[in-house]
Amino acid sequence: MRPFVPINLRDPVGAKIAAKIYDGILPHNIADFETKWLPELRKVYADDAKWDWAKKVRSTNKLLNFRAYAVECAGSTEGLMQLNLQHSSRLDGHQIAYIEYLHTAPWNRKELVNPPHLALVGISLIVQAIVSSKETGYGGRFALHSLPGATNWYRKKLDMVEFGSDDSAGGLIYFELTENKATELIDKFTG
Amino acid sequence: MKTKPTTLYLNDAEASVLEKLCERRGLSKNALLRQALRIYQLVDAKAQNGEKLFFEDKGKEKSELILV
Repeated sequence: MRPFVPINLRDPVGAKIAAKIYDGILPHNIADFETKWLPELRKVYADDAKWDWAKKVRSTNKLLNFRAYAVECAGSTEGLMQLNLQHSSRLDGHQIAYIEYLHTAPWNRKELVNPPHLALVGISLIVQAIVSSKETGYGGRFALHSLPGATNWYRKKLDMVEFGSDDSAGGLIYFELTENKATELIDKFTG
Repeated sequence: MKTKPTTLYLNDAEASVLEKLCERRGLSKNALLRQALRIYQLVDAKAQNGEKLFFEDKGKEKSELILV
């Protein structure tokens, strides 16, 4: 059976909606992305409308270094994330996890649909990244490069350490989450 | 994530290297050995795909890592 973690999302009136984070991205998740997400993302010229999940999954499939997760609710793919477990911290050089891609369905983004159909998809994937980092022995630490539209969320909501614009990543801003912040986030979200 | 216990036998030199690497990398022995397996798998997959792995020293001289 495909491993999963049960989570609770929120509908537009704040009611709990049961969902699952699955370990692994399967063809039906990619089909949802291509047939349901992409047309909406292309309409608004979203930063991530050019991401190719089929290629990402194919190129890293079965490699232990990469973990992939899909949020599903009522048979629909609501979020996707790919994690790289081989990354060096810019704070101290220690090994940490790195979020290669974190993607929520367009109808779950406040800037596109307000109120979003389902809230907490992004933070649920962040918590999963922390859990995977802890399981790998990295204490919950992870890093990422933020797309322009999400920088304030990582800066203010997650209080990540900001390293500024990174020329090696097309000018995207690089962030890291410390172990203390990771623990705080887990406690806040699951407590 | 489910894990299975595995017994590993190391000689003194290997055990010493493992301890030093753990200290330098800030990882437990378990975490470091799992990381080593991930890296080995990645390198092996690249090699199987006909790709090459090079190290470049400070003088820009390259040496190829060959898996046997």
